[in-house]
Amino acid sequence: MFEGVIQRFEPAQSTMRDTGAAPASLSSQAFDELFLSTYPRLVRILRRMLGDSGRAEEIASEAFLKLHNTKLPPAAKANVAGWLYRTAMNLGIDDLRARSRHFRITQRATSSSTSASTNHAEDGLQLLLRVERQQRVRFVLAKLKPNWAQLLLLRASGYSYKELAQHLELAPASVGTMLIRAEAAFEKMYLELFGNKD
Amino acid sequence: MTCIPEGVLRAYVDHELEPAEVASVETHLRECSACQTHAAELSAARLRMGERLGTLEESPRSLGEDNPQIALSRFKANLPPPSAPQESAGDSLRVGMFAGQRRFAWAAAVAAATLLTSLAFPSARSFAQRLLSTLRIEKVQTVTLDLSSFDGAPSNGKFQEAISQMISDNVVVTTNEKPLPASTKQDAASLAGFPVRLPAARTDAPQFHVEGAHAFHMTVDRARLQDILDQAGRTDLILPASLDGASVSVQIPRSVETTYGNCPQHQRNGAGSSSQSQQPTPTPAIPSNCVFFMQAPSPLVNVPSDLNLQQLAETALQFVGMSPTQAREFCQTVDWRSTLVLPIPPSVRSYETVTVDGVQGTLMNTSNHHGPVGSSTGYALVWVKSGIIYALFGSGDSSAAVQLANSLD
Repeated sequence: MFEGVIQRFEPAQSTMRDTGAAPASLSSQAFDELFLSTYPRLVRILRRMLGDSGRAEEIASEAFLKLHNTKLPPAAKANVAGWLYRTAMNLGIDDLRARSRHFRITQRATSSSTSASTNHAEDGLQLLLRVERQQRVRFVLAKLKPNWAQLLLLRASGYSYKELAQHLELAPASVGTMLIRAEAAFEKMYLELFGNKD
Repeated sequence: MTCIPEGVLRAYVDHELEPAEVASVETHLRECSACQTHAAELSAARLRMGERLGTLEESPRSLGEDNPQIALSRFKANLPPPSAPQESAGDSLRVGMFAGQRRFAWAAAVAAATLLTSLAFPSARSFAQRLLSTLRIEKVQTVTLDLSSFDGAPSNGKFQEAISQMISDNVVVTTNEKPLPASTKQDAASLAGFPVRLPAARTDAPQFHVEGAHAFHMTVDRARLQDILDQAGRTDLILPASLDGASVSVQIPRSVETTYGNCPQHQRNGAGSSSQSQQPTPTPAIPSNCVFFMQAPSPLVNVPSDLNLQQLAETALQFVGMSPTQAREFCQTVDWRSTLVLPIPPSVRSYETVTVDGVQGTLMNTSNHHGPVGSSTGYALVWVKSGIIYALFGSGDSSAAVQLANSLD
C-alpha cells in the first residue's frame, strides 16, 4: 500500500566509509574536469559565507568527497554541478549554523573590546566594526531557510539568473520573485535581531 | 492596464531581461506610476542587500582557490583506500525494514508512520537536556487521503535527493537484526519475546518467521526539513522553530509473521531486490488459501515531552494532500501519542470499524493485488490489543477476516 511512499525515503549511498578508487557516478576524467572547473567557484562562495579560507576548502572537498562516493539518482546526474553546489552550500550553512551558536558570546566579547578600544587607533576600531557587521550578516544567513541563503549568496557572488536557475533547480521565470522573497526574509530577520545597525 | 509582475520587475532592475523585454517594461513604466514606485523599492532593497552581503567580500583567497590542480592532487591523496562495502545507516534501515521481505500494508504503514514520525517530529536538543516522552501505539485510526498530490510532488529528483541526503547524514542505526528462522509457535514466541497467538479456525500447519529488531536515532534539522517542504512546492507549510537541532529515537521490537496456505515465496526472500528501482514493485496476487497474520509489539518513539504533536501532524497531513481545515479537524480527534494512523488510499474499496478480538479494529476491503489469483478482492484487518499490533491479510470475503481473528487463542 505504501511501498511507493517508503521507497522515496530510500537513502543515497552517501558515506565516506564506502570510498573506493573510482568515483561512483562519473568517470575519473569527468570528475577531474568538474573538480578543476567548480572547486575554485565553490571555495569562493564558501569563503564568503564562512569568512574562513581553510574551512571553505575543507567543506568544498567534503562536497566533492560526497560526489565521489555517491551513486547519484538519474535526476541528479542530469545536473551534477547543481547537485554539487547545493550539497556544498548546505554543508556550509550547517557549519555556519554551528558557528552561529557562539555568535552572541563573540558579539559580547567584541562589543566589550570595542568599548575598550576607544583609545586605540581608528583603524583598529574600523576593523572591529567591520567584523561585527560580517558576524551579523552571517548570523542571519545561518538562521534563514537554506534555499534563501543559497540564493542570496550565489546572487551576491555574481551568478546570473540562468546560473541560479540551473544550480538551484529553480524555474527561470521564478528567480526574480524568489530573490525578492529571500531578501525580504533576510531583511526582516536582520531588523528583528539587530535593529537598524548597518 | 496590467502592472508588471514583481518577478519581471526585479529581473529588469537586475539587468537580467532580454532587450525586447526591457523595451516592453520601460514602455509600461513610463505610463505606470505604481510600477515606477515598485521598481524603485525593489532597486533600494537590492542595493541594501548588496551592501549587507558586500561586507563578506574581504576574506583572503585560499591556496586551492587559486590552484585547483593542487587542490585536486591533495583531494586524491586524502582519499581513503578502497574497502569492503559497508551498509550506510540509511541502507541498513531500508534493508532491515523495507527490503521487500514483508511488504504488506500494515508493516509498511507502521514503518512509514515510524519513519515519518522520525522525520517530522521534533525532539530534544539532546536527550540530557529535555524530558522525553514515549509514544506507544495503543489503537488504530484511519484517515482518508488522496495521495496523488503527495505522489506527484516528491517524485521529482531534487526532493528524493534531499530526503535521501538528510537520512544518510542524520540517521544512525544502532540495531539491525536479520530475520530469524522459527519452526514452531514456541520457537517464535521465545525468539520474539512475547506470546504468539494463532487462529484456531485454521487447522493447516503454519510457517513462522521472526523479523529482527531495529533501532535508530537521528537529529532533525528543521531548516533542512523546511527546505525540503519548499522544494516540494509547499512553501505554505511552516515547521516550528523548536525543531532545530532536535533528535528522536525509534525502537522497533522483533515481530512474528505466520503464513498459512500457498503464499508467494518471493515475499520473504527479498533482501532488497528492488531497492534500486524508482517505481514501487507490484505485489503479486495472493492465492485464495493464503493468509498472512502479523503480530508486532508497538514501536517505541522517544520525543520531547513538550512536543506539539498535533501541530506537526497537521503539517504532515497538509503535506500529503489535506486542506488546512481538514487536517485541523482530523487532528483534534486523534491522540497522537498512542494512535497509529492508517492512511486509506483510493485503492481501498471500502473500510469499516469492526469489533475484533474484543477491541475496535479497522477492516479494509481491497480491490488490488491483495486479492486471490483470478479474483479482485481481498482484505486487511488491523487492530491493537495489549500493546501488540495485529494485522491479518487474505483474499475473498472480508467477513472471513473477523471470524479468523476472533478464533485467536
